[in-house]
Amino acid sequence: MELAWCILWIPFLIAGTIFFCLLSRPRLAGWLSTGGMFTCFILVVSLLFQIQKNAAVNGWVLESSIRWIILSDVTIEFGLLVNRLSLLMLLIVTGVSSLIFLYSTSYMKDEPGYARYFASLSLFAFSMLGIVLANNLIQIFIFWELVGVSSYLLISFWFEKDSAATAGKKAFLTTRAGDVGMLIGILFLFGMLSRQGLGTFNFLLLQTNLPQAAIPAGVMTALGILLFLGVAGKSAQMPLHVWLPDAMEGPTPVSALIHAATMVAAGVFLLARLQFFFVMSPDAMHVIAWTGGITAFLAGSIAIVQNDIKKILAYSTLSQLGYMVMALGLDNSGAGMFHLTTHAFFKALLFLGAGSLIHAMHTQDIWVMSERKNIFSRMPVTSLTFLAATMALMGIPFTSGFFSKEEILMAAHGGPAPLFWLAMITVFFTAFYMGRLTTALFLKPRPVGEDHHPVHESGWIVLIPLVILAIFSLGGGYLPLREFLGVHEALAESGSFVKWLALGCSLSGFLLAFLIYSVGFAKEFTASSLFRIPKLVLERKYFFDDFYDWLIRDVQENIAKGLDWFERIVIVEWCVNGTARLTRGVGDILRKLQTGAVQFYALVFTIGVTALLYTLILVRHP
Amino acid sequence: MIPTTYYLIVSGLLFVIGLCGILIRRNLILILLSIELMLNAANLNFIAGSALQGQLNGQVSAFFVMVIAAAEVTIGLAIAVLLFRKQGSADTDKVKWLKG
Amino acid sequence: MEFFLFYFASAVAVLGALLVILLPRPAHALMALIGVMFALAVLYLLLQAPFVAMVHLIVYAGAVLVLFLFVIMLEGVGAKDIPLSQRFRKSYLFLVCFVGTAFLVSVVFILFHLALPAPQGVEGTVEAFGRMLFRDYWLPFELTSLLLLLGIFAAIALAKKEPEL
Repeated sequence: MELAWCILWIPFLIAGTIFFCLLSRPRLAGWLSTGGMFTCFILVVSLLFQIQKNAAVNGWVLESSIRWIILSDVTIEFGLLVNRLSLLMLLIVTGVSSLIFLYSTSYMKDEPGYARYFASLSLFAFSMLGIVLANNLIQIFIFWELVGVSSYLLISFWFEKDSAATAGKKAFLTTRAGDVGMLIGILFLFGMLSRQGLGTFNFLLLQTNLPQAAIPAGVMTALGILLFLGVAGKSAQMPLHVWLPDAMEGPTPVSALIHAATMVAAGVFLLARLQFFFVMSPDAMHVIAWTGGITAFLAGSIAIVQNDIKKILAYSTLSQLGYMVMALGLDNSGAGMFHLTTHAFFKALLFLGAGSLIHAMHTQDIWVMSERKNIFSRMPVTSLTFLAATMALMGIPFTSGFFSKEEILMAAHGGPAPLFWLAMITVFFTAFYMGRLTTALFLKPRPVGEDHHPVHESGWIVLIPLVILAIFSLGGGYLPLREFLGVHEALAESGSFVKWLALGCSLSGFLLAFLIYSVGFAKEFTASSLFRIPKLVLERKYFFDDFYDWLIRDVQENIAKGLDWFERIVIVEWCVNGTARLTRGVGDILRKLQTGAVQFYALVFTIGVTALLYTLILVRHP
Repeated sequence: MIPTTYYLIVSGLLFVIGLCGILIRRNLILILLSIELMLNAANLNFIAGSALQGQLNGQVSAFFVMVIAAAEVTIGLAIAVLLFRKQGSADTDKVKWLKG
Repeated sequence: MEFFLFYFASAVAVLGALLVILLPRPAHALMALIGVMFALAVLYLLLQAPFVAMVHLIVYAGAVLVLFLFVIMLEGVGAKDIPLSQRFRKSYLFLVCFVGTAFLVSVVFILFHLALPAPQGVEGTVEAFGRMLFRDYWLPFELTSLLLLLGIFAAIALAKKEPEL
């Protein structure tokens, strides 16, 4: 187990070292972080082999923990839980991170904040590993928040830019809203359990304690939804999805790592970790599945009208996350985790490739890129790997994405029919927007003439991660993931119908996009007024941002103003100052007794004595 | 024999009159005279008590009260002189320097 | 005979007291007080305290009140009538009368409910008094003489005029 502890703490130590010593030696910081990450990956692989060797004895579960906070009725521990699920995540996180760290050393090399960048990245790696390895709910929450902090630091990396700083705040606050629900859910769950003396936060203990506790169904549903709120925040499900597109303000490797492959997958990971809990509440599962499906559909539709390459990929991520959440809502964690893995490969590849393109052409707008000549011939590696990832995303047969998407669609087929059709239409959307992107980059006819600003390929440090990820994107479907996860769900026999329908949707989507954007097919139709309203809705992202703006600007501001009035006027002016004024007023009145005339005092004295005499009389002779 | 109670009533009467005098008159000299009146009322009380008990203690106490009254008058009049010097009249209504 | 003396002396005393607090001219009020002193001396005699009565007259009527008279005349306040507007504290005249009456009523009430036995006789002669004074009360005697001395000092210190520089 010592390996696991090392894997967790190495990135933290690296982050600390960079922050305290190496801010002035950026190149060293960069290589140290990358080396550290690769070391972690190797440690994970050796951990895998170590566990495999002892599998017969210990099974695939290892736990090691320290009792951290010990109170009279509750103990909070700090520990690591390694089972197959965490091993899979560890491999993905450390593997993809290592490649992205390597990519960053070249991509970010002219940045003034280079060392700070790597310190934040290492901190992020530490936080993410903490989520994966945590063995109890409190610890996972702590690292959950830490991941949010790292994400904030990295999104607002160019903090001098207003839009970047705002995007960082937006991300943090939106996920925070979900996290509040999650915390309430965790504590509420503990409370319900500890009523019967079964209170615990530990995952393994929860598995045994929950069935015994016999919590009523309504409460279970509420708990499920509360915990799902945290997932919705971190994995950007509707309505808490608004931060992810804005998070593209951060550097492209950050988008690749955090907002495609790992952090946003943390929510899906939590759902899988707590599968045993969520299945106990069918209603919560319905909510989860429908949220996932709707997110996938709506995000896919918004991606169709985006012109910024990173924004297209961001909405695509939202859409694919919706698929994963939907799969887990349909009690098929195998399909969900499979898609998480393949998505990590091809989405990271798409972002890194986009980074390479952006670096070469100094623009993020796909229509500006569509004016540049000879992209494919002058940047072959970038272009080919980009296309490989596109095919995987669309689910072209034999790519990794094909297998994982098929699993999810088949799971959806077993669920409510509307959900299945939403998923299927989203396949069409996915193909359409990727087709639009591909057409703009490679297939649109360029104007004839000289190439005045030739593009050139990126260096080998950038290209190596692209190639490796491309290999996994294409061949990853053949990894024995489902067996590894020990998940064996029977696949429905209507498999071939789903397969062919999905393929049809993908191809037709791509073809339609190609025709519209390269040849100008149906131009009058698309420019007609019929399209204006849907286009507006899509471009305004279904008015979610406008809604939140209104909510904060009008509702929350007015509530805040009201409370401010209450505090300023009622509490300070009336209560505090009022008491002071009252005291002074009473004092002013009482001061009139101090006349300075001795005879007045003597009079008062006499009155007192007389009263005393009468009291004495009345006592004796009532 | 006249019952002692009657003497005590006279003493009480004199005391109350002296008290009223202190409280209402504005001239300092008259206030001091009223104080003398009250002291004498107390003296009468002592003597009557002595007669009641058949002891001489009351009379001796009255004797000492007289001595002290004399000393007090001396100083009181010194203060009256000072007051007269400060403000030109003996009106106590003008003595409001401790008004707070 | 005794009754007549008692009532007469009491009446003079009370009347004199009322005059003291009501008369407009301080010198007249002083005279009224001297009358009260004489009446009190008579009452003391009735209570078998001849020595005290004489000392009372000598000290009060002869010394204290004369001192008062000196100060009144020196400061010039005694010779003139004090006009009604300056005589009483107008703001609580009624209140004082009320309180005074209440006080008196309570005192009288209490006195009537005390069951006092008949007075015994007491020997108030000079020898008896002297014996008591110098045997049992010699310490207060010495102390009061000291007190008188202090009173003199205080009066001189207070009333002395500042020397011209």
